[in-house]
Amino acid sequence: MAILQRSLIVVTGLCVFGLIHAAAPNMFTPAYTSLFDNQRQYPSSAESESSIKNEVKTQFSLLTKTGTVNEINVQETNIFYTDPLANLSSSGLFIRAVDEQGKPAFKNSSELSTEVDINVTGMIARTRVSQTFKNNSDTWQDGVYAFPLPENAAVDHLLLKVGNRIIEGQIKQKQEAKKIFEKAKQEGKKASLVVQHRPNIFTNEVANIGPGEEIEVSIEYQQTLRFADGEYSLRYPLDIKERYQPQSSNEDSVEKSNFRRKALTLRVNLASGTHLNNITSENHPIVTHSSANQIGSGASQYEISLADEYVLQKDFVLRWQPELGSQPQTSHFSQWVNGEEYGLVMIYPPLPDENLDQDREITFILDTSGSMAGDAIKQAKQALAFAVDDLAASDKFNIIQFNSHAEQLWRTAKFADSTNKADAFDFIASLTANGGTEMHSALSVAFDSADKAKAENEDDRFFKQILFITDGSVSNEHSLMQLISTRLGSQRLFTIGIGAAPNTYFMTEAAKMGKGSFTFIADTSQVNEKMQTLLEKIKAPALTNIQFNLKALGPNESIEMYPDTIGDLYHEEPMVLSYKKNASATASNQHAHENTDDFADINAPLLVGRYNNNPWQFSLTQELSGKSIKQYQQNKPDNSALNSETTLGTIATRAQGINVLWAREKIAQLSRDKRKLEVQPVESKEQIDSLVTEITQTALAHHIVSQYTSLVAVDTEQTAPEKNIQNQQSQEAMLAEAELKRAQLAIAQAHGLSQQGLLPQTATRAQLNMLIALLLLTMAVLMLWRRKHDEI
Amino acid sequence: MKSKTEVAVNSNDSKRRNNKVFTIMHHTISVETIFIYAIFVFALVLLGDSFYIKTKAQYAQYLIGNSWQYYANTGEIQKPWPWADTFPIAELSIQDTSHFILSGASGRNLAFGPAHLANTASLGSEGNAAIAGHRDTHFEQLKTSKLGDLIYLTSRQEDKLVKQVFRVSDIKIVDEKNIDVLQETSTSTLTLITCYPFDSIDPNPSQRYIVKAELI
Repeated sequence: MAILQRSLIVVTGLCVFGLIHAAAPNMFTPAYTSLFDNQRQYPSSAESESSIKNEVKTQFSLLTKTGTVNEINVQETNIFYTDPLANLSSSGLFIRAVDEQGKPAFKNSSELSTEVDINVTGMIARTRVSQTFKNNSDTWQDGVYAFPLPENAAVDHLLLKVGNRIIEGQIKQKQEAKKIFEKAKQEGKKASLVVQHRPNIFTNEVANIGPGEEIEVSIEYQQTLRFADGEYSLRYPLDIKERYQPQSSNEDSVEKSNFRRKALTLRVNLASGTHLNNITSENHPIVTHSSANQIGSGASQYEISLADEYVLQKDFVLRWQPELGSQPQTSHFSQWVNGEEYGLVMIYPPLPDENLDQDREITFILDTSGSMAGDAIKQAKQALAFAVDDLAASDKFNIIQFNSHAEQLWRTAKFADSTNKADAFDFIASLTANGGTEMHSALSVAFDSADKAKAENEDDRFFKQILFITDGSVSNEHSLMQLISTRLGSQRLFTIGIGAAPNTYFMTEAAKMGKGSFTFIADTSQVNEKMQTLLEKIKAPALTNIQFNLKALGPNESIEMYPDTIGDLYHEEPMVLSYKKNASATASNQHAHENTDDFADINAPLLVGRYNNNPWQFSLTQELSGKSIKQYQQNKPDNSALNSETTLGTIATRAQGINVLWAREKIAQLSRDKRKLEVQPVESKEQIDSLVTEITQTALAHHIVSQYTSLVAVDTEQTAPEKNIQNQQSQEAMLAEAELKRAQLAIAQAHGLSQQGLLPQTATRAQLNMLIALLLLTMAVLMLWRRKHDEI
Repeated sequence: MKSKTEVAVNSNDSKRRNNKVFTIMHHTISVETIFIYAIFVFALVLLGDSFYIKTKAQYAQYLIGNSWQYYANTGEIQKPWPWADTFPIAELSIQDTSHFILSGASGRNLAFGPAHLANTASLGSEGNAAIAGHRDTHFEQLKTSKLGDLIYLTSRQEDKLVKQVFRVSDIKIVDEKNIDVLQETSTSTLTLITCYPFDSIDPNPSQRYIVKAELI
């Protein structure tokens, strides 16, 4: 026994030595010293297990305390970046000031009037806001105009009037914008680069506002409305509940803010392209006028305005419901900009119908590579089990798991009856994550078995879907994309992203190529909800094999359409296609579909597809029967030559922003193309450069902010007193430079480059383990020592 | 507080209870001894585990370093070990310490070394490229990073090695949900991410320490 005890002491010694050795590089930093110091307090005070537990608690709190102390130090050194406009919920002009502690703060300036014009075309909403403010103080002031933007919106037009100065925003190439800004600064003029600090707040510096001077700000932004639960909703921010109030300012302005009213003129021109069931406003009474100038068209256009001049300061929310029928409904809009025709086609799904449920054959592919280890594989298995459980008995399914090689559950797909499901659950439970990511072989296996089934002439009443669960960490993206594009056939590929930082680029692209969709699951709690939504959606595609009919084009016409791959129409969301009609045969690029047929058939359908196993088509001539409306923008002089075409009986409206939508989609596609080139092992600099040029040109032509273009606003006059200028100039220059550095691009955000989920987990359990181990060792030694003491 | 006599009585009680013995291969072992040894073994396992985590993080860098040298010289991907699911794509040098950056910031990769987040811009190209690392192994040194520090990044661009210099422009602490820090930028930016606070023993903290560096 004594020998055993001695050897134990030796082992303990070794352990401590090992521990110190392991931590050696960090041994002498203050953090570790304090950690060890604290631990040394244990043996003296620990008498029983419970008291040790208490000690553990105190230890934890001690550690949290040191954590807090560090945080305070960090704050003192100004590392924390806090945005005073973070909680902004309504627009305003904020005057720069300094609070009691000498830190920068903002004061509200008084608002005189606000005019809002919203133009809705299908699912595009273009908003023009004009606001007037006044500098009520008797000194020169600097301010910031801030506007909380709705999701997926970007400001593309800006006009400022300060006294008799006019400042207009122009879209310039980024370097050029910076040059203009620098030059204006040197000349003592005011200039500002408009950048979006945060994706959802637009800010613009307004310098040198004279005493008593009025400031008029006009901005224009475009957003894509979301269709959810059968309705559209449009929101204009008016809420002031959470408005930022500097601590130093007088408190009385905050009180009763809910009951305050303000003068507001707000008009909505609503052209949805379909019959509408209902138009409602959530917080404000409205007056709705239906436009009368329709020629037998059932699709209506509405003018909506506020019933009161003074409105409650709550967000203006307008909802409308397109009337859906038993057939897919299509609406078409077009707009002429600079002599070119831009079009927007929207296809609404029919009302859900049980009879449309198709029998499906689903192949699940599960990534069990090493990168999935930990929480990711747990989530993936949970998602897979959920999906298998959800299958109807008339559906067929099979599971493929892959790491360094791919493995199938069965040779061919089996019906989803309870026995087969039970087998599948056993299979899923047995999976662990390890090894490489041979995604290519897994996809090949899936495509092979589909080809084999086709060759053996099995009945093809099954709609084939592939559900691919992975974190997308692959090095051969390019060859995978090629594999999908060449071998997809009639199948549909849905990607499901798992884990903290999955490769969203790849999975979004793969799903697009596979005519499916990408679903992202950030953590375990979301699995059921997200899978439920996806499975419900893919149960019954309403409209499949949708294609643009090239015969509908005139001679020498070509169509450049985005998205360039048309997927299927599902019950959850309408399909949106935007195109540009190129009149000359020379205009073509990789995304253009050239019309090779010289004789265009005017009656040929624009779109063809399959609905409920029958052919489906949509042609522009249907407009006369009221299925859709064709719209021309007449309020621009350059369109006058083209009005002869409106003899078809189309309705003249103010269709806006179709070209902007098209350009945004094009830029998003070009950015993805660029990214695809960048991840290839051999980069081709020339191709990337030409894509950058194309993105820049598209952005300049359509006046939008992009990765390579900025909105720059230069003040043409200089009116501030001399001494004021230098001060403000340096301050503004600093601010603008800081902003330039922080330039964050809402456009990139809006088009799938946005991030979701959490930042990766970057701590190990090593420290915690060490601490517990030390505690236990101490406890064991104590117990041994006590026993020895008792024996004596 | 118990008096001395009570303690004595208690210990006698426990002694009586401890007379329950097991006989294994002619040795008699009391329950208490088994208990003590069990604690010992458990403690050793825990120690071994934490030792393993640290060693793995240290040693894997040598293998990854070899793999990186090969990739840097030839442009061909060589996995650091045959069953690896990742490969090094760049070398990051902070305060004279080199790290080899793995592709894809999955939990497993992070145990071997700092890793590049696949959904951010690629390293060495324009945009915001994010690298995550463990606060208690590789990225512990971020604690001593200051504004203005230089960070060197070596990556392969079009058949040649490119070394870029970045200057630390911003240091902040954010919540793990604050993915704003990954947002695309028009300039070349490095975003280094590690867990915060540094000295905490909580293996799943909710805060992240962010070091941003701009290309100069």
